[in-house]
Amino acid sequence: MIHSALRYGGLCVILFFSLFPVYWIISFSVRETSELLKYPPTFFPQTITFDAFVTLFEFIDMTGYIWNTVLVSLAATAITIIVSTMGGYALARRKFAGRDAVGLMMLSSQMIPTILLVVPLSLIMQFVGLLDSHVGLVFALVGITIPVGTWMMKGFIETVPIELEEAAVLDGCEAWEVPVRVVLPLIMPGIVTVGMYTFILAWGEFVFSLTLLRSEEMRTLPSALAVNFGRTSVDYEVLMPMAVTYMAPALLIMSLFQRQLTRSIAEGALKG
Amino acid sequence: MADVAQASPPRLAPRSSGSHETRFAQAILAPAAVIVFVVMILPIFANIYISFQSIPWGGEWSFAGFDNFVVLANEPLLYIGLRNTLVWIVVVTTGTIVLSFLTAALLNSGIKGQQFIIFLLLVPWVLPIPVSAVGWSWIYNGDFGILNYFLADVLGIESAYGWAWTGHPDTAFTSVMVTEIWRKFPFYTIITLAAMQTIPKTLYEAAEMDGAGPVARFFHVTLPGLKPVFVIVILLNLIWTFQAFPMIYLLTSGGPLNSSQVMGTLIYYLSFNSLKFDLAAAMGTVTIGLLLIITVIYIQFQKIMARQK
Repeated sequence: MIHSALRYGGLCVILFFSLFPVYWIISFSVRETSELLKYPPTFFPQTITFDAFVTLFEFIDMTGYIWNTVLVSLAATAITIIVSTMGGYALARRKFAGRDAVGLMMLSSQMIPTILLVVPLSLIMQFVGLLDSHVGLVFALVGITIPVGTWMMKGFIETVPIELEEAAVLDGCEAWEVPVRVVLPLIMPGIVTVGMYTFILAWGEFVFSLTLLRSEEMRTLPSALAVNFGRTSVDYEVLMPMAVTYMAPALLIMSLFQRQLTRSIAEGALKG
Repeated sequence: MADVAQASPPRLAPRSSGSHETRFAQAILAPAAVIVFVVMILPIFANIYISFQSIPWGGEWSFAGFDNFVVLANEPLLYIGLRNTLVWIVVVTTGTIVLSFLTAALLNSGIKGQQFIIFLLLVPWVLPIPVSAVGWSWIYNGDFGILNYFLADVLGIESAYGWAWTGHPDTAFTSVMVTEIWRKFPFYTIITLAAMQTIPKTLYEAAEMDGAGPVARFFHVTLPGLKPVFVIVILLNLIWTFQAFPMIYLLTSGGPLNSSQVMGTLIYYLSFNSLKFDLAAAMGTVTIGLLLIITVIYIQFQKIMARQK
Protein backbone atom coordinates (compact mmCIF):
# COMPACT_ATOMS: atom_id res chain seq x y z
CA MET A 1 0.00 0.00 0.00
CA ILE A 2 2.12 2.90 1.20
CA HIS A 3 5.86 2.74 0.57
CA SER A 4 7.54 1.10 3.54
CA ALA A 5 10.15 3.83 4.20
CA LEU A 6 7.39 6.44 4.16
CA ARG A 7 5.33 4.39 6.63
CA TYR A 8 8.13 4.00 9.16
CA GLY A 9 9.21 7.61 8.58
CA GLY A 10 5.68 8.88 9.24
CA LEU A 11 5.35 6.82 12.41
CA CYS A 12 8.73 8.08 13.62
CA VAL A 13 7.59 11.70 13.22
CA ILE A 14 4.34 10.97 15.11
CA LEU A 15 6.20 9.09 17.86
CA PHE A 16 8.64 11.98 18.18
CA PHE A 17 5.73 14.41 18.61
CA SER A 18 4.18 12.10 21.23
CA LEU A 19 7.25 11.31 23.25
CA PHE A 20 9.42 14.41 23.00
CA PRO A 21 7.60 16.32 25.80
CA VAL A 22 7.95 13.26 28.05
CA TYR A 23 11.64 12.95 27.24
CA TRP A 24 12.07 16.67 27.81
CA ILE A 25 10.68 16.49 31.37
CA ILE A 26 12.82 13.48 32.30
CA SER A 27 15.88 14.94 30.66
CA PHE A 28 15.55 18.22 32.56
CA SER A 29 15.00 16.46 35.87
CA VAL A 30 18.52 15.00 35.72
CA ARG A 31 20.43 18.09 34.51
CA GLU A 32 22.61 20.28 36.66
CA THR A 33 21.09 23.54 37.87
CA SER A 34 23.47 25.56 35.72
CA GLU A 35 22.20 23.71 32.64
CA LEU A 36 18.51 24.50 33.18
CA LEU A 37 18.56 28.09 32.05
CA LYS A 38 20.96 27.67 29.18
CA TYR A 39 20.29 28.93 25.70
CA PRO A 40 20.37 27.20 23.29
CA PRO A 41 19.13 24.11 25.17
CA THR A 42 21.04 20.92 24.37
CA PHE A 43 19.10 17.83 23.35
CA PHE A 44 21.03 15.57 25.75
CA PRO A 45 22.04 16.52 29.30
CA GLN A 46 25.76 17.26 29.50
CA THR A 47 26.05 15.64 32.89
CA ILE A 48 23.49 13.41 34.56
CA THR A 49 22.83 14.13 38.21
CA PHE A 50 20.06 13.27 40.65
CA ASP A 51 20.77 16.27 42.88
CA ALA A 52 17.42 17.85 42.01
CA PHE A 53 15.57 14.82 43.44
CA VAL A 54 17.64 14.96 46.63
CA THR A 55 16.92 18.68 46.99
CA LEU A 56 13.26 18.09 46.30
CA PHE A 57 12.85 15.52 49.07
CA GLU A 58 14.93 17.62 51.48
CA PHE A 59 13.19 20.95 51.14
CA ILE A 60 9.66 20.04 50.13
CA ASP A 61 7.34 17.61 51.88
CA MET A 62 7.42 15.20 48.94
CA THR A 63 7.02 12.13 51.16
CA GLY A 64 3.84 13.65 52.53
CA TYR A 65 2.45 14.40 49.06
CA ILE A 66 3.33 10.90 47.81
CA TRP A 67 1.78 9.28 50.87
CA ASN A 68 -1.41 11.34 50.48
CA THR A 69 -1.70 10.48 46.79
CA VAL A 70 -1.05 6.77 47.37
CA LEU A 71 -3.57 6.69 50.21
CA VAL A 72 -6.30 8.47 48.23
CA SER A 73 -5.71 6.46 45.02
CA LEU A 74 -5.60 3.08 46.76
CA ALA A 75 -8.72 3.84 48.80
CA ALA A 76 -10.57 4.93 45.65
CA THR A 77 -9.40 1.81 43.81
CA ALA A 78 -10.46 -0.56 46.60
CA ILE A 79 -13.89 1.03 46.99
CA THR A 80 -14.43 1.10 43.22
CA ILE A 81 -13.55 -2.58 42.84
CA ILE A 82 -15.94 -3.71 45.59
CA VAL A 83 -18.85 -1.43 44.68
CA SER A 84 -18.47 -1.96 40.90
CA THR A 85 -18.31 -5.74 41.16
CA MET A 86 -21.51 -5.81 43.20
CA GLY A 87 -23.26 -3.31 40.94
CA GLY A 88 -21.99 -4.97 37.77
CA TYR A 89 -23.34 -8.33 38.94
CA ALA A 90 -26.79 -6.88 39.60
CA LEU A 91 -26.87 -5.15 36.20
CA ALA A 92 -25.62 -8.23 34.34
CA ARG A 93 -27.66 -10.96 35.98
CA ARG A 94 -30.86 -9.65 37.50
CA LYS A 95 -33.95 -7.91 36.23
CA PHE A 96 -35.63 -5.67 38.77
CA ALA A 97 -37.36 -2.33 39.24
CA GLY A 98 -34.95 0.57 38.84
CA ARG A 99 -32.30 -1.38 36.97
CA ASP A 100 -32.61 0.54 33.72
CA ALA A 101 -32.83 3.88 35.52
CA VAL A 102 -29.56 3.20 37.36
CA GLY A 103 -27.92 2.02 34.15
CA LEU A 104 -28.98 5.21 32.38
CA MET A 105 -27.70 7.31 35.28
CA MET A 106 -24.31 5.57 35.10
CA LEU A 107 -24.03 6.18 31.36
CA SER A 108 -25.16 9.79 31.40
CA SER A 109 -22.86 10.62 34.33
CA GLN A 110 -19.98 9.97 31.92
CA MET A 111 -20.94 13.10 30.01
CA ILE A 112 -20.71 15.43 33.00
CA PRO A 113 -17.47 17.44 33.10
CA THR A 114 -15.96 17.51 36.60
CA ILE A 115 -15.52 21.30 36.56
CA LEU A 116 -19.31 21.57 36.49
CA LEU A 117 -19.48 19.69 39.80
CA VAL A 118 -16.91 21.59 41.84
CA VAL A 119 -19.02 24.60 42.84
CA PRO A 120 -22.02 22.63 44.20
CA LEU A 121 -19.80 19.77 45.42
CA SER A 122 -17.52 22.02 47.47
CA LEU A 123 -20.59 23.70 49.00
CA ILE A 124 -22.07 20.26 49.81
CA MET A 125 -18.73 19.02 51.19
CA GLN A 126 -18.46 22.12 53.34
CA PHE A 127 -21.98 21.55 54.63
CA VAL A 128 -21.22 17.95 55.71
CA GLY A 129 -17.73 18.89 56.96
CA LEU A 130 -15.77 16.90 54.38
CA LEU A 131 -14.13 19.82 52.59
CA ASP A 132 -10.34 19.68 52.77
CA SER A 133 -10.33 16.03 53.83
CA HIS A 134 -9.10 12.86 52.13
CA VAL A 135 -12.43 11.14 52.85
CA GLY A 136 -14.24 13.84 50.88
CA LEU A 137 -11.78 13.60 47.99
CA VAL A 138 -12.03 9.79 47.84
CA PHE A 139 -15.82 10.05 47.86
CA ALA A 140 -15.73 12.47 44.91
CA LEU A 141 -13.17 10.32 43.05
CA VAL A 142 -15.20 7.12 43.28
CA GLY A 143 -18.13 9.09 41.85
CA ILE A 144 -16.13 9.29 38.60
CA THR A 145 -14.64 5.80 38.65
CA ILE A 146 -17.65 3.71 39.74
CA PRO A 147 -19.77 4.27 36.58
CA VAL A 148 -16.88 3.13 34.35
CA GLY A 149 -15.98 0.31 36.73
CA THR A 150 -19.56 -0.95 36.94
CA TRP A 151 -19.96 -1.00 33.15
CA MET A 152 -16.68 -2.83 32.74
CA MET A 153 -17.58 -5.37 35.44
CA LYS A 154 -21.03 -5.87 33.89
CA GLY A 155 -19.29 -6.77 30.62
CA PHE A 156 -16.89 -9.21 32.31
CA ILE A 157 -19.66 -10.91 34.29
CA GLU A 158 -21.76 -11.38 31.16
CA THR A 159 -18.95 -13.52 29.69
CA VAL A 160 -19.32 -16.06 32.53
CA PRO A 161 -21.74 -18.81 31.36
CA ILE A 162 -24.99 -18.62 33.30
CA GLU A 163 -25.11 -22.46 33.33
CA LEU A 164 -22.29 -22.47 35.90
CA GLU A 165 -24.44 -20.48 38.28
CA GLU A 166 -27.49 -22.67 37.65
CA ALA A 167 -25.44 -25.79 38.37
CA ALA A 168 -24.26 -24.27 41.65
CA VAL A 169 -27.85 -23.56 42.66
CA LEU A 170 -28.77 -27.17 41.89
CA ASP A 171 -25.85 -28.27 44.04
CA GLY A 172 -27.46 -26.47 46.94
CA CYS A 173 -25.62 -23.13 46.97
CA GLU A 174 -27.48 -20.23 48.60
CA ALA A 175 -28.41 -17.35 46.24
CA TRP A 176 -25.88 -14.95 47.76
CA GLU A 177 -23.17 -17.62 47.68
CA VAL A 178 -23.33 -18.13 43.90
CA PRO A 179 -21.76 -14.85 42.82
CA VAL A 180 -19.00 -15.12 45.42
CA ARG A 181 -18.12 -18.82 44.94
CA VAL A 182 -18.73 -19.23 41.21
CA VAL A 183 -18.49 -15.88 39.43
CA LEU A 184 -15.83 -14.07 41.47
CA PRO A 185 -12.94 -16.49 40.77
CA LEU A 186 -13.72 -16.35 37.04
CA ILE A 187 -13.70 -12.56 36.74
CA MET A 188 -10.36 -11.95 38.47
CA PRO A 189 -8.78 -10.66 35.22
CA GLY A 190 -11.67 -8.21 34.95
CA ILE A 191 -11.16 -7.04 38.51
CA VAL A 192 -7.47 -6.46 37.79
CA THR A 193 -8.36 -4.42 34.69
CA VAL A 194 -10.86 -2.29 36.60
CA GLY A 195 -8.37 -1.83 39.44
CA MET A 196 -5.60 -0.80 37.06
CA TYR A 197 -7.79 1.69 35.24
CA THR A 198 -9.23 3.15 38.44
CA PHE A 199 -5.78 3.60 39.94
CA ILE A 200 -4.48 5.43 36.85
CA LEU A 201 -7.59 7.64 36.82
CA ALA A 202 -7.49 8.40 40.55
CA TRP A 203 -3.71 8.96 40.51
CA GLY A 204 -4.00 11.47 37.67
CA GLU A 205 -7.24 13.21 38.69
CA PHE A 206 -6.70 16.94 38.95
CA VAL A 207 -9.88 19.02 39.24
CA PHE A 208 -11.19 17.56 42.51
CA SER A 209 -7.74 17.56 44.15
CA LEU A 210 -7.37 21.23 43.21
CA THR A 211 -10.74 22.36 44.53
CA LEU A 212 -11.62 20.01 47.41
CA LEU A 213 -8.25 20.11 49.20
CA ARG A 214 -7.15 23.38 50.75
CA SER A 215 -4.48 22.90 53.42
CA GLU A 216 -0.84 22.08 52.83
CA GLU A 217 -0.78 18.82 54.82
CA MET A 218 -3.70 17.40 52.81
CA ARG A 219 -2.16 18.07 49.39
CA THR A 220 -1.75 15.34 46.85
CA LEU A 221 0.85 15.36 44.06
CA PRO A 222 -1.36 16.92 41.33
CA SER A 223 -2.39 19.89 43.45
CA ALA A 224 1.13 20.28 44.88
CA LEU A 225 2.51 20.33 41.34
CA ALA A 226 -0.15 22.83 40.24
CA VAL A 227 0.51 25.09 43.21
CA ASN A 228 4.27 25.15 42.51
CA PHE A 229 3.55 25.64 38.82
CA GLY A 230 1.20 28.54 39.50
CA ARG A 231 3.73 30.58 41.47
CA THR A 232 4.81 33.82 39.81
CA SER A 233 8.44 32.67 39.69
CA VAL A 234 8.14 29.19 38.24
CA ASP A 235 11.01 27.04 39.50
CA TYR A 236 11.66 24.27 37.00
CA GLU A 237 14.42 22.90 39.20
CA VAL A 238 11.64 21.80 41.57
CA LEU A 239 8.93 21.11 38.98
CA MET A 240 10.82 18.69 36.73
CA PRO A 241 11.82 16.09 39.36
CA MET A 242 8.40 16.50 40.97
CA ALA A 243 6.69 15.78 37.63
CA VAL A 244 8.90 12.72 37.05
CA THR A 245 8.14 11.36 40.52
CA TYR A 246 4.44 11.91 39.92
CA MET A 247 4.26 10.26 36.48
CA ALA A 248 6.42 7.22 37.28
CA PRO A 249 3.76 5.03 38.99
CA ALA A 250 1.17 5.77 36.28
CA LEU A 251 3.61 4.78 33.54
CA LEU A 252 4.70 1.68 35.46
CA ILE A 253 1.13 0.41 35.84
CA MET A 254 0.37 1.25 32.23
CA SER A 255 3.34 -0.78 31.00
CA LEU A 256 2.25 -3.77 33.10
CA PHE A 257 -1.33 -3.72 31.82
CA GLN A 258 -0.96 -2.28 28.34
CA ARG A 259 -2.87 -5.10 26.63
CA GLN A 260 -5.92 -4.77 28.90
CA LEU A 261 -5.85 -1.00 28.60
CA THR A 262 -5.78 -1.07 24.78
CA ARG A 263 -8.58 -3.62 24.64
CA SER A 264 -10.78 -1.61 27.02
CA ILE A 265 -10.34 1.55 24.93
CA ALA A 266 -11.11 -0.30 21.69
CA GLU A 267 -14.26 -1.80 23.21
CA GLY A 268 -15.46 1.66 24.11
CA ALA A 269 -15.45 1.19 27.84
CA LEU A 270 -13.11 4.03 28.78
CA LYS A 271 -13.31 7.76 28.44
CA GLY A 272 -10.90 10.09 26.68
CA MET B 1 -19.34 4.44 25.63
CA ALA B 2 -21.66 4.18 22.69
CA ASP B 3 -20.78 0.54 22.27
CA VAL B 4 -21.62 -0.16 25.87
CA ALA B 5 -25.02 1.43 25.45
CA GLN B 6 -25.82 -0.82 22.53
CA ALA B 7 -24.51 -4.01 24.06
CA SER B 8 -26.90 -6.89 23.70
CA PRO B 9 -29.25 -7.39 26.64
CA PRO B 10 -27.79 -9.81 29.18
CA ARG B 11 -29.17 -13.30 29.55
CA LEU B 12 -31.12 -13.57 32.71
CA ALA B 13 -31.23 -16.42 35.13
CA PRO B 14 -34.34 -18.40 34.19
CA ARG B 15 -35.03 -19.08 37.82
CA SER B 16 -37.96 -17.45 39.55
CA SER B 17 -37.18 -13.89 40.54
CA GLY B 18 -39.16 -13.51 43.71
CA SER B 19 -39.13 -10.41 45.88
CA HIS B 20 -36.23 -11.86 47.85
CA GLU B 21 -34.14 -12.01 44.67
CA THR B 22 -35.17 -8.49 43.73
CA ARG B 23 -34.21 -7.11 47.10
CA PHE B 24 -30.82 -8.83 46.86
CA ALA B 25 -30.16 -7.28 43.44
CA GLN B 26 -31.26 -3.83 44.55
CA ALA B 27 -29.14 -4.07 47.68
CA ILE B 28 -25.92 -4.89 45.85
CA LEU B 29 -26.53 -2.17 43.25
CA ALA B 30 -27.46 0.43 45.88
CA PRO B 31 -23.93 1.57 46.90
CA ALA B 32 -22.96 2.30 43.29
CA ALA B 33 -26.27 4.05 42.62
CA VAL B 34 -26.11 6.19 45.77
CA ILE B 35 -22.49 7.28 45.26
CA VAL B 36 -22.98 8.19 41.60
CA PHE B 37 -26.18 10.03 42.45
CA VAL B 38 -24.62 12.06 45.27
CA VAL B 39 -21.38 12.92 43.44
CA MET B 40 -22.54 13.34 39.84
CA ILE B 41 -26.30 13.93 39.68
CA LEU B 42 -27.22 15.79 42.87
CA PRO B 43 -24.61 18.55 42.29
CA ILE B 44 -26.12 19.23 38.85
CA PHE B 45 -29.52 19.94 40.43
CA ALA B 46 -27.84 21.83 43.28
CA ASN B 47 -26.02 23.93 40.68
CA ILE B 48 -29.26 24.83 38.92
CA TYR B 49 -30.82 25.74 42.29
CA ILE B 50 -27.83 27.92 43.27
CA SER B 51 -27.93 29.71 39.93
CA PHE B 52 -31.31 31.16 40.89
CA GLN B 53 -30.03 32.38 44.27
CA SER B 54 -28.26 35.54 45.27
CA ILE B 55 -25.24 34.74 47.45
CA PRO B 56 -23.64 37.92 48.79
CA TRP B 57 -20.22 37.31 50.35
CA GLY B 58 -20.86 36.30 53.96
CA GLY B 59 -24.58 37.13 53.70
CA GLU B 60 -27.82 35.21 53.57
CA TRP B 61 -28.94 33.36 50.44
CA SER B 62 -32.07 34.71 48.78
CA PHE B 63 -34.09 33.88 45.68
CA ALA B 64 -32.89 35.98 42.77
CA GLY B 65 -34.99 34.86 39.82
CA PHE B 66 -33.11 35.29 36.58
CA ASP B 67 -30.88 38.09 37.95
CA ASN B 68 -27.67 36.06 37.64
CA PHE B 69 -28.44 35.20 34.04
CA VAL B 70 -29.15 38.84 33.21
CA VAL B 71 -25.77 39.78 34.69
CA LEU B 72 -24.11 37.06 32.62
CA ALA B 73 -25.89 38.09 29.44
CA ASN B 74 -24.35 41.56 29.78
CA GLU B 75 -20.93 40.11 30.50
CA PRO B 76 -18.51 40.01 27.52
CA LEU B 77 -16.66 37.13 29.22
CA LEU B 78 -19.62 34.83 28.58
CA TYR B 79 -19.34 35.41 24.84
CA ILE B 80 -15.56 34.95 24.87
CA GLY B 81 -16.14 31.67 26.69
CA LEU B 82 -18.80 30.52 24.22
CA ARG B 83 -16.75 31.53 21.18
CA ASN B 84 -13.60 29.82 22.47
CA THR B 85 -15.57 26.69 23.33
CA LEU B 86 -16.82 26.56 19.74
CA VAL B 87 -13.31 27.13 18.34
CA TRP B 88 -12.00 24.43 20.68
CA ILE B 89 -14.64 21.96 19.46
CA VAL B 90 -13.83 22.55 15.78
CA VAL B 91 -10.03 22.66 16.05
CA VAL B 92 -9.47 19.91 18.62
CA THR B 93 -11.98 17.57 16.97
CA THR B 94 -10.50 18.09 13.49
CA GLY B 95 -6.96 17.77 14.83
CA THR B 96 -7.59 14.54 16.73
CA ILE B 97 -9.49 12.98 13.83
CA VAL B 98 -6.82 13.78 11.23
CA LEU B 99 -3.91 12.77 13.43
CA SER B 100 -5.52 9.64 14.88
CA PHE B 101 -6.71 8.52 11.45
CA LEU B 102 -3.26 9.02 9.94
CA THR B 103 -1.60 7.15 12.80
CA ALA B 104 -4.10 4.30 12.67
CA ALA B 105 -3.67 3.97 8.89
CA LEU B 106 0.11 3.76 9.32
CA LEU B 107 -0.23 1.22 12.13
CA ASN B 108 -2.65 -0.86 10.09
CA SER B 109 -0.37 -1.13 7.05
CA GLY B 110 1.42 -4.27 8.21
CA ILE B 111 3.96 -2.51 10.36
CA LYS B 112 6.30 -4.49 12.61
CA GLY B 113 6.09 -4.03 16.38
CA GLN B 114 2.56 -2.65 16.32
CA GLN B 115 1.91 -3.43 19.99
CA PHE B 116 5.08 -1.68 21.14
CA ILE B 117 4.33 1.43 19.08
CA ILE B 118 0.80 1.55 20.53
CA PHE B 119 2.32 1.35 24.01
CA LEU B 120 4.60 4.31 23.26
CA LEU B 121 1.75 6.29 21.71
CA LEU B 122 -0.43 5.82 24.79
CA VAL B 123 2.10 7.47 27.11
CA PRO B 124 0.74 11.04 26.69
CA TRP B 125 -2.79 9.80 27.38
CA VAL B 126 -1.75 8.13 30.65
CA LEU B 127 0.44 11.02 31.78
CA PRO B 128 -1.24 13.07 34.54
CA ILE B 129 -2.32 16.42 33.06
CA PRO B 130 -0.23 18.59 35.43
CA VAL B 131 2.88 16.70 34.30
CA SER B 132 2.07 17.32 30.63
CA ALA B 133 1.43 20.99 31.38
CA VAL B 134 4.84 21.37 33.05
CA GLY B 135 6.59 19.72 30.09
CA TRP B 136 4.80 21.72 27.40
CA SER B 137 5.19 25.04 29.22
CA TRP B 138 8.93 24.44 29.20
CA ILE B 139 8.84 23.70 25.46
CA TYR B 140 6.73 26.84 24.83
CA ASN B 141 8.90 29.00 27.12
CA GLY B 142 9.81 32.27 25.41
CA ASP B 143 13.40 32.67 26.54
CA PHE B 144 14.65 29.12 27.03
CA GLY B 145 12.13 26.98 25.14
CA ILE B 146 13.29 24.51 22.54
CA LEU B 147 10.43 25.47 20.20
CA ASN B 148 11.78 29.00 19.82
CA TYR B 149 15.31 27.68 19.46
CA PHE B 150 14.11 25.48 16.60
CA LEU B 151 12.07 28.23 14.95
CA ALA B 152 14.56 31.06 15.37
CA ASP B 153 17.98 29.44 15.21
CA VAL B 154 17.32 26.42 13.01
CA LEU B 155 14.62 27.73 10.66
CA GLY B 156 15.72 31.33 10.90
CA ILE B 157 12.38 32.88 11.85
CA GLU B 158 13.63 35.99 13.63
CA SER B 159 10.30 36.96 15.20
CA ALA B 160 10.26 33.74 17.24
CA TYR B 161 13.03 35.08 19.51
CA GLY B 162 11.62 35.45 23.00
CA TRP B 163 8.04 34.76 21.89
CA ALA B 164 6.12 33.49 24.93
CA TRP B 165 3.69 31.06 23.30
CA THR B 166 1.34 30.66 26.24
CA GLY B 167 1.86 34.25 27.39
CA HIS B 168 0.70 36.05 24.26
CA PRO B 169 -3.01 36.52 23.42
CA ASP B 170 -2.42 35.59 19.77
CA THR B 171 -0.95 32.17 20.46
CA ALA B 172 -2.03 31.15 23.99
CA PHE B 173 -5.26 29.39 23.05
CA THR B 174 -3.73 27.70 19.99
CA SER B 175 -0.84 26.42 22.11
CA VAL B 176 -3.24 24.80 24.57
CA MET B 177 -5.25 23.25 21.74
CA VAL B 178 -2.10 21.71 20.24
CA THR B 179 -1.24 20.25 23.65
CA GLU B 180 -4.75 18.86 24.04
CA ILE B 181 -4.63 17.22 20.59
CA TRP B 182 -1.26 15.76 21.60
CA ARG B 183 -2.85 14.33 24.75
CA LYS B 184 -6.04 12.98 23.19
CA PHE B 185 -5.16 11.59 19.77
CA PRO B 186 -3.65 8.29 21.08
CA PHE B 187 -7.02 7.36 22.58
CA TYR B 188 -8.83 7.98 19.29
CA THR B 189 -6.07 6.22 17.35
CA ILE B 190 -6.88 2.99 19.17
CA ILE B 191 -10.61 3.33 18.49
CA THR B 192 -9.94 4.08 14.80
CA LEU B 193 -7.44 1.24 14.49
CA ALA B 194 -9.93 -1.21 16.01
CA ALA B 195 -12.56 -0.06 13.51
CA MET B 196 -10.11 -0.41 10.60
CA GLN B 197 -9.35 -3.96 11.61
CA THR B 198 -13.03 -4.90 11.46
CA ILE B 199 -13.22 -4.02 7.74
CA PRO B 200 -13.14 -7.45 6.06
CA LYS B 201 -10.03 -8.17 3.98
CA THR B 202 -12.26 -9.71 1.30
CA LEU B 203 -13.68 -6.24 0.56
CA TYR B 204 -10.20 -5.04 -0.35
CA GLU B 205 -9.52 -8.15 -2.41
CA ALA B 206 -12.80 -7.76 -4.29
CA ALA B 207 -12.07 -4.10 -4.98
CA GLU B 208 -8.60 -5.01 -6.22
CA MET B 209 -10.03 -7.62 -8.59
CA ASP B 210 -12.37 -4.96 -9.93
CA GLY B 211 -9.29 -2.95 -10.78
CA ALA B 212 -9.40 -0.43 -7.95
CA GLY B 213 -6.00 1.10 -7.14
CA PRO B 214 -4.81 1.93 -3.61
CA VAL B 215 -6.38 5.39 -3.76
CA ALA B 216 -9.73 4.10 -5.00
CA ARG B 217 -9.68 1.34 -2.39
CA PHE B 218 -9.04 3.95 0.28
CA PHE B 219 -11.98 6.11 -0.77
CA HIS B 220 -14.41 3.28 -1.55
CA VAL B 221 -13.57 0.70 1.11
CA THR B 222 -11.67 2.27 4.03
CA LEU B 223 -13.53 5.58 4.40
CA PRO B 224 -17.08 4.15 4.20
CA GLY B 225 -16.08 1.44 6.66
CA LEU B 226 -14.88 4.07 9.10
CA LYS B 227 -17.94 6.31 8.95
CA PRO B 228 -19.42 4.98 12.21
CA VAL B 229 -16.18 5.52 14.09
CA PHE B 230 -15.86 9.08 12.78
CA VAL B 231 -19.35 9.85 14.08
CA ILE B 232 -18.41 8.40 17.49
CA VAL B 233 -15.15 10.36 17.60
CA ILE B 234 -16.92 13.62 16.73
CA LEU B 235 -19.62 13.05 19.36
CA LEU B 236 -17.16 12.02 22.07
CA ASN B 237 -15.14 15.14 21.31
CA LEU B 238 -18.29 17.26 21.56
CA ILE B 239 -19.29 15.74 24.87
CA TRP B 240 -15.82 15.93 26.41
CA THR B 241 -15.15 19.47 25.17
CA PHE B 242 -16.12 20.79 28.57
CA GLN B 243 -13.35 18.69 30.12
CA ALA B 244 -11.01 21.28 28.56
CA PHE B 245 -10.60 22.96 31.92
CA PRO B 246 -7.47 21.31 33.45
CA MET B 247 -5.06 21.88 30.56
CA ILE B 248 -6.19 25.49 29.99
CA TYR B 249 -6.13 26.29 33.70
CA LEU B 250 -2.59 24.97 34.04
CA LEU B 251 -1.05 26.38 30.86
CA THR B 252 -2.67 29.82 30.54
CA SER B 253 -5.22 30.23 33.38
CA GLY B 254 -7.62 31.49 30.72
CA GLY B 255 -5.35 34.40 29.90
CA PRO B 256 -3.62 36.47 28.83
CA LEU B 257 -6.33 39.13 28.59
CA ASN B 258 -8.96 36.35 28.82
CA SER B 259 -7.93 35.17 25.35
CA SER B 260 -8.17 31.50 26.30
CA GLN B 261 -11.21 31.50 28.59
CA VAL B 262 -13.69 28.68 28.05
CA MET B 263 -16.82 27.86 30.07
CA GLY B 264 -14.82 25.68 32.50
CA THR B 265 -12.18 28.27 33.34
CA LEU B 266 -14.87 30.94 33.75
CA ILE B 267 -16.76 28.77 36.25
CA TYR B 268 -13.53 28.28 38.19
CA TYR B 269 -12.59 31.96 38.27
CA LEU B 270 -16.06 33.22 39.12
CA SER B 271 -16.23 30.83 42.07
CA PHE B 272 -12.75 30.28 43.47
CA ASN B 273 -11.15 33.62 42.55
CA SER B 274 -14.03 36.13 42.60
CA LEU B 275 -16.07 34.09 45.13
CA LYS B 276 -19.24 34.82 43.13
CA PHE B 277 -20.71 31.38 43.54
CA ASP B 278 -24.13 32.44 42.24
CA LEU B 279 -22.69 33.73 38.96
CA ALA B 280 -20.45 30.68 38.65
CA ALA B 281 -23.49 28.46 39.11
CA ALA B 282 -25.36 30.43 36.43
CA MET B 283 -22.39 29.90 34.09
CA GLY B 284 -22.64 26.22 35.01
CA THR B 285 -26.36 26.14 34.20
CA VAL B 286 -25.63 27.61 30.75
CA THR B 287 -23.06 24.84 30.25
CA ILE B 288 -25.60 22.21 31.38
CA GLY B 289 -27.97 23.61 28.74
CA LEU B 290 -25.31 23.24 26.05
CA LEU B 291 -24.59 19.68 27.23
CA LEU B 292 -28.28 18.82 26.98
CA ILE B 293 -28.40 20.07 23.39
CA ILE B 294 -25.34 17.95 22.56
CA THR B 295 -26.94 14.95 24.28
CA VAL B 296 -30.08 15.27 22.15
CA ILE B 297 -27.93 15.39 19.00
CA TYR B 298 -26.00 12.36 20.31
CA ILE B 299 -29.16 10.33 20.90
CA GLN B 300 -30.55 11.26 17.47
CA PHE B 301 -27.30 10.16 15.84
CA GLN B 302 -27.41 6.86 17.73
CA LYS B 303 -30.92 6.24 16.44
CA ILE B 304 -29.87 6.98 12.85
CA MET B 305 -26.83 4.74 13.21
CA ALA B 306 -28.91 1.94 14.71
CA ARG B 307 -31.35 2.15 11.80
CA GLN B 308 -28.49 1.89 9.29
CA LYS B 309 -27.19 -1.35 10.79
